[in-house]
Amino acid sequence: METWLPELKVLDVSTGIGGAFCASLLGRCGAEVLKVEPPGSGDPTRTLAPFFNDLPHNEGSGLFLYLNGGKRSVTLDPDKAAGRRIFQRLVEQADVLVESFTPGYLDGLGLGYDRLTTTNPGLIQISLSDFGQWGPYSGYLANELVENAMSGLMYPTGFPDQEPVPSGGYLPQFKSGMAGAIAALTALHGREVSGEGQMVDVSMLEVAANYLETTLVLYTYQGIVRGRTGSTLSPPTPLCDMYQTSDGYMIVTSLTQQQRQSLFEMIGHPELVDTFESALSRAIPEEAKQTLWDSIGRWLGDQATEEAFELSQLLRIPCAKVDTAADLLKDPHLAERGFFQELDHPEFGAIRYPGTGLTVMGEDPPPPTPAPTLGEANREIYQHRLGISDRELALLGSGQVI
Amino acid sequence: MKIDIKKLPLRDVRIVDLTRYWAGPYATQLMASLGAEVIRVEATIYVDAVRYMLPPDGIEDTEDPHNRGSYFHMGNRNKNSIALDLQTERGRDLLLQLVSIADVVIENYSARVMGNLDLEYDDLIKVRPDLIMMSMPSFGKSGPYRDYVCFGEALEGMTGLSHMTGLPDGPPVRSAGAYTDPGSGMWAVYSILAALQKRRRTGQGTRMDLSQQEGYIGLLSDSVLDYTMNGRVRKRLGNRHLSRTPQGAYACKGDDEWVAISTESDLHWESLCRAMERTDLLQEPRYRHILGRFRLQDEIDKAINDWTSGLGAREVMARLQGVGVPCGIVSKANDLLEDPHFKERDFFEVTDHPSVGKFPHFGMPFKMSKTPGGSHSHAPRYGEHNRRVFCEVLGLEETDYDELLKARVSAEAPLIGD
Repeated sequence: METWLPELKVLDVSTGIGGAFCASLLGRCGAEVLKVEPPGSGDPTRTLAPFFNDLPHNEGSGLFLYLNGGKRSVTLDPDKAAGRRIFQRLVEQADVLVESFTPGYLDGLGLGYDRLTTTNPGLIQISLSDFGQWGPYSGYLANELVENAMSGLMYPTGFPDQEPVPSGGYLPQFKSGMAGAIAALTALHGREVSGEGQMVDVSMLEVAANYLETTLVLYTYQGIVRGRTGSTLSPPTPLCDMYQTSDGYMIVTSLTQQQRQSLFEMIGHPELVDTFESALSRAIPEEAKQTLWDSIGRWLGDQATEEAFELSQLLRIPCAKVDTAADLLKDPHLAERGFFQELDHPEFGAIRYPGTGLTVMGEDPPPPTPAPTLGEANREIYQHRLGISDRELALLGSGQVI
Repeated sequence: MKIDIKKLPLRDVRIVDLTRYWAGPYATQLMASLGAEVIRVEATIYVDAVRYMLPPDGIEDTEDPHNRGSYFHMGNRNKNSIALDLQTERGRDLLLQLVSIADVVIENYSARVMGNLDLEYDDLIKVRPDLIMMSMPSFGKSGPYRDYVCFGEALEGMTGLSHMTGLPDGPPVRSAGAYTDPGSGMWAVYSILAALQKRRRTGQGTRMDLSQQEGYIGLLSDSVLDYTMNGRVRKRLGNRHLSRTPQGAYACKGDDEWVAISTESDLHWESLCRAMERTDLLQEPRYRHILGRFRLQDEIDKAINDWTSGLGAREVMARLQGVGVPCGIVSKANDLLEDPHFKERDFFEVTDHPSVGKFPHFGMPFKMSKTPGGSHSHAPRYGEHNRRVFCEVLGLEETDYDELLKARVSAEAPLIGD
């Protein structure tokens, strides 16, 4: 895969998770990615946990290392006039610009898309922001919590008598980065015919709202405002819930009558099939649901997760374990597939990274590569590619332009 | 907004879509919204269950229940539908004819199905040597779980997500949707577009398998890295964060109304206290340093709750965003359609479906300045494009098509099993 886009040049001036992930996905296909960071402390992602032994280190954020492998790093402050001139020259050499500044910021510097395309008409600009480049909230600030809340994903997550909760991790940011990579490849595809680039407005809120699924259609089609129901998910799947096992949790679903039959037989209550099927309409009566839930729960409560999972799968009942990161690292399936890859970091030693899940026939997955230290490519890029002299470079450094 | 399909960037891409439920359909819907010609090949007997799922209320006539499921409408806009029994020789032949003029084949069956139909990659490249094929079973096509069955509603358990979601003192919580489905759909689109670039450059096709489980773990890498780097299994944080405080969901005036507030810096904390007219909190030495605020999160949260509970959620959001503090209402489904921001950006897309009428659906994950994609036609009725595809695209005579129907190789409504 790392040979698929060998000529593509990506200029990543973004900060944070989304833009870095977007550029890194293009890098995985072989694009050359030049990361432009603020002089001094660099991309703020450098300050995000996890760190080795929990010791914050500007080159040691696991998240930063994961998101920026294989890129080169230069420093640049486009707020300064000299920085703007260099910015424009870097853009001239790029196919794709990935940016995540506050909407309107580049325009304000005279570096808006229309201006940049006067010297690079094929430029594809991916602009990632919390709420999009325009609209009433475009100046608002957000992070994964706020995006979870405003997208409608959070309200129905959690238990009815408790506060709504967001999904764990930085999912909205990662997903908007992925949307950005899709947009860049789409624009690239279009450019082959039109010869023109375009600007793409990626709103993290709108990406998150792509995950609404039944929460939205339940309301639009049936007038139901989905509330919080713990881990019970009905509808759409008539039986979908999380159950406690003797040593953990499991999620069990069933969509077809065959699957329900297998489930009820497994727990030793084949007679429940009839109860369930006769009650199965749009809404299952509460008591019937409770009986079913109790029967499944009682049975699973005595089983170890691993055994219950294997037995259910043997009977072709759709189900999953509730795994922690530790469980995933020792999972025999992921191990056999070689999902976790090892990076040998020059300073910190071995780190195991998750892969992408993508297997390309006839190709090994791209090996993880170290992330760049802050500004490591300044000399190479500025001097060799832009022809900036030693003396100028020193001046740019002392002026904190780079 | 009227969309000119001829100008969309992926208009030269033809996709044979064998996917069902939501993961694969999300992928092909996004590509269709960007101009790709997507031909859904639907089974004649065991049709995609979501065709029936969550129909609108108040429709008495159930002549075509297979065309009424909102779940299908949400994920299959802009596509063509043909019905074809791939277990018959004629059906398989017709599929191969279609593949011979397609760029991409995508399927999300469990791992063994395509092999059982003799429609594996090796069979398909005989008719289309530079084919791009994407398979996306839950657990990938190799490894001990390759034949295991799962739905998105459960699969998130095996990505670490469920364990990370929920309150610190409570059990893990499932998400409110099958998140791994559109997540995998996005991975699939990214991979297919990259493979198209490779084909343009080298003339070669590609076979790809995507493990939905693994793709989603990749989006949760920070918790995996905390384990591989420090041996730590992260605890559930509810609405809190490892390095920011105060942060939480706070109750507001009204019935089950909430607002999410997140302070990322000392400056945010100061602005929050000023907005709450609680500058006394800024004088409190125990709160001065963020480590102090971490230790005393509960009492700070109580002070914030006292303030928010007297105000509407939108009021809190406007006040805090006005002073630069990240904050947002916890939107309910009905709030979304009325939200001024979504409205002004025209996010939700209304499609007019012949069987159920007009309904809004979620829109594009990004807006392209020159070729904005989006919904240009409703999710297809079952077999809606049979005639067009069989006769116009594959060149069959009308009488051949009638023969297909008679022989139950194709259908205009799902067939009942014999």
